[in-house]
Amino acid sequence: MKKLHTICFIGSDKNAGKTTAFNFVYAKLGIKKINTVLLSIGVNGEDFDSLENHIKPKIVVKKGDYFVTEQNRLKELDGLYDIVKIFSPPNFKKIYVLSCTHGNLPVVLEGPNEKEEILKIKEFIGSYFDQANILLDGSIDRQFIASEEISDEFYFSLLITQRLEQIKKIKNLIRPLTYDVVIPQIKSFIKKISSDRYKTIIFDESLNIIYKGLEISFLDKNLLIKLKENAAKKIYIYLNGALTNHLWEILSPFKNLTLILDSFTQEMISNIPQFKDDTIKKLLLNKVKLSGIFLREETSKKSDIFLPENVPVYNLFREEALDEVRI
Amino acid sequence: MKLEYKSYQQDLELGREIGIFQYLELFNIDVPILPYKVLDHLGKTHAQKFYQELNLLNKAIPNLEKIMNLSKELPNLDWVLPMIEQKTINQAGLLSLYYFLKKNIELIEIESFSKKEIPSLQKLTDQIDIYLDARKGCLKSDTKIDQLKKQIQDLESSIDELSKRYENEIFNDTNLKMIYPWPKEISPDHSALEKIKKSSLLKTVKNNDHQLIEYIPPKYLTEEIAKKEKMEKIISSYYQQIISKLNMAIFKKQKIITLKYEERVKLTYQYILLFCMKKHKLILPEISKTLRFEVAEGILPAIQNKREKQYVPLNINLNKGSNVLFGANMAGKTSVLKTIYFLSFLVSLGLPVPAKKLITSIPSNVKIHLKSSGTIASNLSSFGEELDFFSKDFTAGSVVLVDELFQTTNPLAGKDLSTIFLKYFNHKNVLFFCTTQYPEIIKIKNLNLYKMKDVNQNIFNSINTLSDLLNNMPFKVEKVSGDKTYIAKEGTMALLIARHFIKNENIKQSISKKIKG
Repeated sequence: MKKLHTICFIGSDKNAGKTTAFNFVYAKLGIKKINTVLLSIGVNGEDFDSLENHIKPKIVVKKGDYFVTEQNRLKELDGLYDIVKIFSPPNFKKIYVLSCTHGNLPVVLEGPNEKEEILKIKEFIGSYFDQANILLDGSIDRQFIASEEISDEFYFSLLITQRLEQIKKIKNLIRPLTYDVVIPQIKSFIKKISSDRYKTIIFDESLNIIYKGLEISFLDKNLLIKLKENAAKKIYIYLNGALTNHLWEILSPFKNLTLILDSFTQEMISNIPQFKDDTIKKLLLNKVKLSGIFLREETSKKSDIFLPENVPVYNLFREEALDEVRI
Repeated sequence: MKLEYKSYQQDLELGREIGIFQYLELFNIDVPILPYKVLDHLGKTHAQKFYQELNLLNKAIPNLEKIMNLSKELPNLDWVLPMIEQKTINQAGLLSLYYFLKKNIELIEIESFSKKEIPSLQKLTDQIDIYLDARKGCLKSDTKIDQLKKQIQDLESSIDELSKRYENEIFNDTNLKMIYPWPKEISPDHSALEKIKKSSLLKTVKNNDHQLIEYIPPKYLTEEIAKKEKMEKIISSYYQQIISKLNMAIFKKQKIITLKYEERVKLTYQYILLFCMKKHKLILPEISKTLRFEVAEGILPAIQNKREKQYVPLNINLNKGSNVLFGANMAGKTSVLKTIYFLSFLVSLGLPVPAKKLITSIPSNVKIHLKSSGTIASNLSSFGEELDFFSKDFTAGSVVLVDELFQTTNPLAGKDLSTIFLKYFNHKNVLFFCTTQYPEIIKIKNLNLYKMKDVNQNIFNSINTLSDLLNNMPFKVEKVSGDKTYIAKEGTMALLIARHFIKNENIKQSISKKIKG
């Protein structure tokens, strides 16, 4: 096992039951005697849901477990935790504190929104513990959560409704899981040539770079020029940004193209006719280890969402309760 | 520390070209107490004082490396100081303050400054020590609190057991397996719904097309939970009292803490400058009270990095008034201007400089005009741009650098304008330095004249490309007197270069005739 193992939680929407799923997995992990660190991208664990006007489930950090939160979130909790490390500027925009609880402690988790900051925290955790599980309350808006440096395994919380917008979000989240992962040779090539600056990289089968685009892909005029110039060749396009309807319309006519998505969180396309054809082969840069799907059903009506096979599906709100898991 | 110069308005492109931003990166050191430093022109008095302090510090520090290592451990208190002022310091703020005080005392002890503040700072540290276990990063507790914490643990086990009892009662009553307090929803046609509705242990609320089950926990459970919450409140109140006491004590020392912190931030900045100065073999300039610029082996890193071993550092001595540099094409005149601009600019910011020696006044302003073909952005021709440059008044003590003075217009007007401007600046309290190709300039009295050393004419037998020529250029500045002979030589040099590189035989012959006179 790796020294650090990060389990990332993603919700398809607000109120998809992500915190409930988080608590469920946390409770299950509690049985194992490995250091556990609770970390969040942005804010999680707030008591009240202003959207639906009700009290949300809390995250209670168990005695002896660790958590990272912004220092203002610790008001009123002084004396109930040990401070292991204070993360401060210049590497961090806010002040984050890694703490260990003296007893069970309800905490609002607030972590950084930037990849570099999360990596810095992970780097410290890796140096501090011999072995640790990190439970990362992720955000679907942050593409970097899919990076191998950030997450090792995922749990999805899906809000099943009849609203088309929500269904679209779930489909966009689930669909890329069916894509194959690029072969190691291409993966290491992309890792070598890519950086956050480049939004698109086009290369051929012999791994010759054809184009590196700095502009947002669907605004990049040179991208289309390069695609046209190389339309007859079998080429790859690595995309480091959202795959939107507009971009899909640009790319879909190029039948010799293989699209490589940096992350499974990138697809943001609606059901447009071109998409249904699905003529372009799509690949993922990183393998996604999806360990479970949690459903929050607002409707009992059947939808056309196909969940991946061989992944456990839970409905904590409707199924029989599991004896071994207590909050 | 990241150095930033935000108001770099003169020319961003020039700043990039001469490597100002790259140079600032030499001072990047990860020091939490000083994450960023925004640079600005210091002004004459401030800069003089600043360099003086740096010089004294440089001589006084016994072990800069040790000091730097300790400085890196100083926590940033920018977020703690407002808490001190508002008496709202929390555990994290307290720990950071404690570490700051401890490290600051350690630093004062090895520094050669006055140590009279140590007892006062030590007293505050001791006061915090009573309540804070810094090693564990937590507030200390007494036996009573420890007992309460133990009781809470026991209550949690009891609550767990009572929750199970409650769950069993729910199951017996409704046939529904629940884990308190997990949420649960059931469909309206669920077999247990009728039983739930009749049960005193649960209630249902309609939510979309399903029923949300809510708990009605029994008294034996709620009482136990209330007992636990009460104890938690006692503990919380105990720690809040400690925090409040500490806030009062720290607030009383607010002024000295803020003062010491500001002093430490300033000192840390100076240590970083000195540390990086030694690391990158830079120097502190000697500040002259009169307007001058004398450099020995001054370096422009952007060019040095390109030319590597072939780079020739700059040696020049400029004085108040008009200074003029002649030189053949490709002899490096513009690079001289850029180097002086670069070094003067660094001095105006109070930074160490890359040179063997630099004696200079503190420039009130550093301005440079480089030849251009006009820009679309400014909507001006090259002549218009030059006039625009001169339309602004230069404050006393400015360093003004101009490449190819008035070569942007026709030669007759250019020569006249150059003469007028050089005569004017020769009597002003500025350091004006320009390059020119107008030989007539030499007639102006009391100008400081310089020229780029000529390339050895014999090299034309052994070079093929312009790059070869560049590699053989001496790139040295010579002071010259008012005699005209070298101007004629310079004209010949341009002809020699042109003859060597132009392929057309007819033109070559014509140039040869011209050289022979």
